[in-house]
Amino acid sequence: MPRVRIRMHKLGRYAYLSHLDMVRVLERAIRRAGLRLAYSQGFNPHPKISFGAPLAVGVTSTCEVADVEFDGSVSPDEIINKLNEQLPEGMKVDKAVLIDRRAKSLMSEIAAARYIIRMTLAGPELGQLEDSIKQLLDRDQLLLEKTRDGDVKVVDVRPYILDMKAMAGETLQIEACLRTGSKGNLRPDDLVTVMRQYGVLPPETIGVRIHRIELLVERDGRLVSAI
Amino acid sequence: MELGASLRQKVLNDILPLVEKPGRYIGGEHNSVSKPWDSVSTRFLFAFPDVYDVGMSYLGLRVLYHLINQREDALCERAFAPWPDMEALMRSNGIPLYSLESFTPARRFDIIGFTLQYELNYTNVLNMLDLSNIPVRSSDRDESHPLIIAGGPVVYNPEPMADFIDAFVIGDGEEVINEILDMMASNDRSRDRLGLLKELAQIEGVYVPRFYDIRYSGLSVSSFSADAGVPDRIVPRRVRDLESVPFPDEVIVPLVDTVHDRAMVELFRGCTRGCRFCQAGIIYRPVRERRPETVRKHVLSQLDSTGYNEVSLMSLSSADYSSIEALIGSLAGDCDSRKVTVSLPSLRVDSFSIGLANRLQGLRKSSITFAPEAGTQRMRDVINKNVTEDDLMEAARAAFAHGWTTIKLYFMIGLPFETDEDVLGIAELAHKVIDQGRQVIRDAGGNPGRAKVHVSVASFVPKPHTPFQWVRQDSREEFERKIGLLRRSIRSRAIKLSWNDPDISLLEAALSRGDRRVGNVIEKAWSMGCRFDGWDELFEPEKWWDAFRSCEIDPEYIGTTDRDVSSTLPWDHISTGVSKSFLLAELRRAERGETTPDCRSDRCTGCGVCPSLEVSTVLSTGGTADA
Ligand code: SF4
Repeated sequence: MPRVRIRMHKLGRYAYLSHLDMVRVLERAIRRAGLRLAYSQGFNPHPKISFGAPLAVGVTSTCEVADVEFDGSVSPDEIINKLNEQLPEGMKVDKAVLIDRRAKSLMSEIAAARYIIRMTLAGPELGQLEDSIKQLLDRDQLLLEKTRDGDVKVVDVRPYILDMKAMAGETLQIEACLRTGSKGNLRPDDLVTVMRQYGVLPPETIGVRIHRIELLVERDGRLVSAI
Repeated sequence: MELGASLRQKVLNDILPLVEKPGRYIGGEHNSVSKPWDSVSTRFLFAFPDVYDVGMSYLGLRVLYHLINQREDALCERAFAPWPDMEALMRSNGIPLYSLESFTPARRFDIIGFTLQYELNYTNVLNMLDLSNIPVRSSDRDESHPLIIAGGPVVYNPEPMADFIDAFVIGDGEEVINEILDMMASNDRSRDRLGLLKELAQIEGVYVPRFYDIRYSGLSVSSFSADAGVPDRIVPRRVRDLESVPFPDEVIVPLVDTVHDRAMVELFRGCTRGCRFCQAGIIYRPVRERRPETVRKHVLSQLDSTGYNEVSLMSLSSADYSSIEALIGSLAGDCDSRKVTVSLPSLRVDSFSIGLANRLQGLRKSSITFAPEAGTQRMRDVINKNVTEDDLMEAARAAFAHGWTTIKLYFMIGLPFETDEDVLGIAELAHKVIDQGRQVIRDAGGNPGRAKVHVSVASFVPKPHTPFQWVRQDSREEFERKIGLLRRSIRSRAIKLSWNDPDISLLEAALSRGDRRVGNVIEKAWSMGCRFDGWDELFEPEKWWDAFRSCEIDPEYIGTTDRDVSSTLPWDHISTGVSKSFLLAELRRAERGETTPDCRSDRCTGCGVCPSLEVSTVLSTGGTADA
């Protein structure tokens, strides 16, 4: 049973799908495409599809990575072609690779993710933003209040910001690589909160949009692309 | 920028980040149809007055959406009722109700067609019109507004909504919708709305309420007059042979979870078991089956075009399909190899049905539901529910033996001619089922403590066009007293009892047997903020009672008063094809506790549908009842 790692887009309106929705959409597209999915054994067989590092609803991405197990032989090209016939614009598959069946699960391997944070309406100037990001990264500690099940916890998230820089694009934007997974995790929306808290984003900043461009795994102590 | 495009951008960028379940409002599903706006002459908006997750589970939407979009000269898009959080944001941002396909404001469509499945959706209809910037009252609309039509089971009593809907479509929709679209294509509708409505009223099955003057005294009609050129009595549409109307295979596959997220193929329409409380058992007569080959073809091609892994074989009572065993047998291989499960909604209470369910569900067993509806044999004879205690015990034994451990039992209380014994009979029956379950599980070497019964009790709501249309409903106090009686008589901890909110039943009764005057109440309740009245968490009975009071209408009076069988009822001008004399004879037989057999397997029992609508029972095995 070949295991295939695929990379999908989640753009435009499809940003509003949840992780479970994505699994369902992919499962049905695979079934329509006539590709044979592998199913788990047991009372309630479910398809062997697992996405790495689910995104919050509303976040767009060009890097939704999933491991899918098929029943019978398939080639990555066939998968890309057949799936794209079934998937809408905004959810296309742009890469597929065969991976070792014994490889660690995608979930457990993921170590970091790279995001673009855009300010579409009002925000700081580029020069000002570059300076304040530099100052932010120079701090030893960045404290973030997190509420979970009613308990407020203060976490130092500085170690979870691996890199971060301001860029001028169509609009002003920030690119950041954040720790993701079991060995430390910083969600991009929490980074936005931190930036607001420490004055990197002035209060009048509106129209903040988050987009994921890369998922990274750790191999021999180095971060490399998951696909 | 196109209007639709800028609306879409605003919704996607500014509104949806702030709402719960934004996936309800985005469209873009597989198999949804987007035709260029200007490529057709008639644009139809299918409006479902409940949330997306409920509306998308409705088979009728799939059928009509497909049928309209197959036409070259028309397009069909969809809109659903926005949940209150979305509604608030739409209103504060000036976003009108829009279609999911093209984000086009509802007001720009030529026709908006509502489906009315349930009386407690009425306020949502008004709200959706208002969100479209369309006056809620038909009389306030002009040539610049879309035509507002409505169909579905509850329009067999259209009067409560008569002030808000331009034209009702009574009966099966497949043929009449084409006639309406043909008429729209040939009509210059920008000129004269009244003329358009007159023309529409000529189509069989179409009821345009403004052409009828109806006066009431008490609960009955005191005078009725129809304008010249419109029919006195509306004859419902009935498709003679389901094989002759299209059934969709390329159905829309929702992106987000919905209530019934699966393929659905209709086995047959109609049910002639003759339960006397059941409106569906009247308004869809006679039984018309599809052929098993046709069903099989639709199952397979629907699975291919959707990717679903479950298919539901739909009807009012699927185990009654005359070719059920052959069909299930012929589907088994294909469904197994595709890892597809087949489900049959609304199981009959007998061991045959359990056998079927067991074959279909395989190892997935949680709970199984039976609806004996009443607790004693006498009461079941009164309502003509042809289920004996032996049937139920057999079914329960089979279910426990096949591995189910929880049985859900549905009952009604407040049925006509009910005594306290009948109420207590519910508890007795539940105890017998539990004893049966313990026995079976113990005999199989299991832990008898695992047997559970959930008893769910609803207050009976008399419905128009049924043999019980004349009878009263229990008051809230009576319902509560009977529930108390029932609670005290349940001794086993393995039996769980639940009942529905009596306020909901009271409102449902007042709306379902209301007349045109109730329209004011609906508008009032809507203007006071009532929405989604069928949802427990949003239902505000106090507002409704205030609305009734301010219109000087007593809902309890509508619900809890017996009606004179010789009077003209507010819905008598809408025919179901079943004669009033048959309904009355059924009421009399109910009173005497006499049952009436199913005409499908026995002789015609003379309900009148077949001769009056020129239809007949169609069984896939070839048999027919002679009417
Ligand atoms: S007319 Fe006779 S055969 Fe036809 S539905 Fe009625 S009872 Fe059945």
